[in-house]
Amino acid sequence: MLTIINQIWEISNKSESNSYDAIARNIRRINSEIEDMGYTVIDPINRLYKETDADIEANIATALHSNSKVVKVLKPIIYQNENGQNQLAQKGIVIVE
Amino acid sequence: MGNINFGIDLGTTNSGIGHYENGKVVLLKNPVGFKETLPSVVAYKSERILIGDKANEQLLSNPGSVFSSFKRKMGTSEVYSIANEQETYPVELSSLVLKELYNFSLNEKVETAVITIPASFDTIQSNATKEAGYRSGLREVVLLQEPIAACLAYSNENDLNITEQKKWLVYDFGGGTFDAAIVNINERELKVIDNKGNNFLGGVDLDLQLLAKIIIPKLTEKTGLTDIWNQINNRENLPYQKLGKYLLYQTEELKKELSLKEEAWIELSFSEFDLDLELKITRDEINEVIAPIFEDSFELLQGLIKENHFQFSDFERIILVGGTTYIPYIRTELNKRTGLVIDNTIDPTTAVIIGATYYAGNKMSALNAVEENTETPSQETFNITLSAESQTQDLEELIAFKTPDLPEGYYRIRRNDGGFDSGEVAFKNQASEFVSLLAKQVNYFTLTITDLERKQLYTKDNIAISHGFYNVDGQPLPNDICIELDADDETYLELIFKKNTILPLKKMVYKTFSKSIAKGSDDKIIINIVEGKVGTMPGANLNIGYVEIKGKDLEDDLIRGTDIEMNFKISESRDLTVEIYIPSADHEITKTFNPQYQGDVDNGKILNELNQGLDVIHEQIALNEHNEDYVLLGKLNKIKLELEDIKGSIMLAVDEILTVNKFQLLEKKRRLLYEVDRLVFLRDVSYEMEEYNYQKETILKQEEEFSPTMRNEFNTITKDEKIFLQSGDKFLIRRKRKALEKLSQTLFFNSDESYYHIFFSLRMMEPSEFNNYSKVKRLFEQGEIVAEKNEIKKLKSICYLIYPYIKDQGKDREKFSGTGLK
Repeated sequence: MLTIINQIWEISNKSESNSYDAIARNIRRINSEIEDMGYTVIDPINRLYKETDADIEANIATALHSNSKVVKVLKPIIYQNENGQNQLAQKGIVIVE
Repeated sequence: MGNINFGIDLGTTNSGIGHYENGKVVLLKNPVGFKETLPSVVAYKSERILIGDKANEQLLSNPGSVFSSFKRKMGTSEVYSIANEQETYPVELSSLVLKELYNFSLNEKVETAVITIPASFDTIQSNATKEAGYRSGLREVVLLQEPIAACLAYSNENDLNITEQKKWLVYDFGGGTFDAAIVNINERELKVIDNKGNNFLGGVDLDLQLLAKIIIPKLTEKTGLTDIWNQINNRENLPYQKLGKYLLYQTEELKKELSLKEEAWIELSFSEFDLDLELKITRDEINEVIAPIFEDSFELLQGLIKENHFQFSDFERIILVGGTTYIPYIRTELNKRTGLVIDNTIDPTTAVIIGATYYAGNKMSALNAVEENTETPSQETFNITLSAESQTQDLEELIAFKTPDLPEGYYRIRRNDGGFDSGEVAFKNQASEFVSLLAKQVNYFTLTITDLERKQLYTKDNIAISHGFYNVDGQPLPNDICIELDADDETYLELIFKKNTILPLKKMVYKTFSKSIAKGSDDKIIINIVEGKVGTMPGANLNIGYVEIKGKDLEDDLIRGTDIEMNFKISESRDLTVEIYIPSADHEITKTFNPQYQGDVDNGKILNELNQGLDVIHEQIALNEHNEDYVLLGKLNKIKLELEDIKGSIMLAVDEILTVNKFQLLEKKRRLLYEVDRLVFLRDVSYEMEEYNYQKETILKQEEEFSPTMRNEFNTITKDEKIFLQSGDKFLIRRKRKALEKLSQTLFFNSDESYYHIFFSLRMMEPSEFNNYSKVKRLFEQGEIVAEKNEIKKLKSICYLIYPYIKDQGKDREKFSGTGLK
């Protein structure tokens, strides 16, 4: 399932960056189904880097400073809700600058 | 005390821990991130110590304070400088990694463990590992050589019965090191005869080689960019540094994909360099790069064999250990050149943990049981004042504490979903930490406090901080907001927005049509939005929005099973907007209802609600007459009369009811239905729960007959069972029970033998229950003949032929008009 979510996330990003609105509604629909299945997908782009954020796996391009932030997301963060409790199902893979 | 039961692979690059439970090895997972392995990396950041993944990600950007591969220095006098002119050393760093692994065990404290060491470790290095174990808080440490652990894993997992002496080769190619060992195995006793290795040969080197020799040349060819390799290694060149990180990640992914496929596509999209291309890479191409690295490892293996005066034919098999051995080229070449069986029956990345845990599970602990509870601090007497906001709108909140009795120590705060970890932080008497929150969730945290020797003194579980549910600055929803939907022959409420969520709110809801509507017809779909409580009768709630989509307003037919998209928005001033879109008809409607809206509900809809309420009352009256509960009967009869009175008023004066009267009637109807719900709530919920459990038990008796699709369906129905059974929503539990019933029916109809039962049940029906009984009679006669001959397939066809003649098929379904949405 995580692979499918990652692929949809990529399709969504591509359609947005190419202003390809024709499939936006379909993607929204798929994302709603994913949410109903108990998954929360988070895109951490532009998030300030914090070493306490265990939900991302950062590839750090430069020396860290107080404004280091996520500049590219290779995989989104995915949480899965089971029996009312969230669990981190996939760490976000990001590049921090 | 029993057996040791915990096995630990304290690796150069990664470590892991397993627990022996009921005769099986369980690989324990990190509660932060849920991985089975932990990078053996430690970072010192002022007062904070990070261990594992978060330390590993700063390895290159912050090399002065991040330490890795310290296992290679165990037993030496190596000293590492850390902040505040302090120092640390390999034993201390290893003990921190070990302590971090103990956190993987949530139910049992780790006091004794088997820790693995390389076969090459001498006495000093072995003693240093033991010291790390004791320093980490263990009371007993048993060492085991890694090749032995790997062999134990393979022999136990495959349940090998070894009765004669054999020799195995262990080929351990990890992320950063390579080791080969000869193991003698005899009637389940294992001994390392010799070993050879290279501490600087591993999978990480391979990734860099693949990047330099395959990806970058192809990239240059496609884009014209030159000197990429040198640029990405230039720490001053920021854009290239970023590109380098990106390419290295994609290379690792490519390597994994090519372990499974003969060719793979790598997709490179990087806006700073205008990159948007795909490269096709074949397994043959990467094999050319892997070959020289494999050659280095094979030379060491050959040297080991030669020095011990063996030949490959003296060995029975090669045991693979380490992630690099996933590469097919390595497996094929090893087999080709040695002619030996390559044993890859278990995951090579966790083989050492599994072996160590098997050993621990069968090794008696020497610990004295009497010692066990000594020096365990009492949680109750630990003096602490803890404070945290329980509700917030911010995505960060402060958790603070004071411990007057503990001058110095370490604390650690983790979010239970694995998304936040403060690491170990030094403190004096008091501390505070900003914790990250997941939006619109209740976030649970665990605080642990240890003394300077890292002995645990205090743990507080489930510190709850709710995000976005309630705040004095925001207006919370006073009740649930729900939409009414169809389920078989009744309607129910599904939650859109939960009570106490902060306004403004919006949510997209997708549903399907439960009936077809012909264009131009008077038939309609109803979108009824109510405020009240999910799980109650729709008619018992306040109507706050109502939209009808009529056949005569449509340009195309609406087909049952197609989609409808509804976007619900509630503003801070509680205006409700519903945007509706029907993709199949390309039909859009937007309606806004203000809080003064008092419900312009169609009279037919009101009558349906009244009928649903009266049906419930009739059922309850029958039940309570049987139970002789006269008090309840009295109340139900009174409500029944009042509801019938309202029903009469609406039926007799459909168009003449003055608006004001209609609102009064609606309010009275709502109040009465609410009262019915209240009176029968507990009994109904417990009845539905019992019925659900009975249905589940019944179906589980036929579990072995489940097809994979049925298994999936069963899992989907019973998913989050605890939550829906405790929800108090009788409609939800009923829907789940009915779904199980349908599954049970599918099982029944899947079995040919069931058709004997079906045929004879039909046979028992009265002639008056059929249309055209003369035809049915002939079918019965044929059926009896084929049943006697045990011709099940023919009997099945006859049942199908009889069924349409049954009178009143689906009559109840037709009577029920519902909303048209499900």
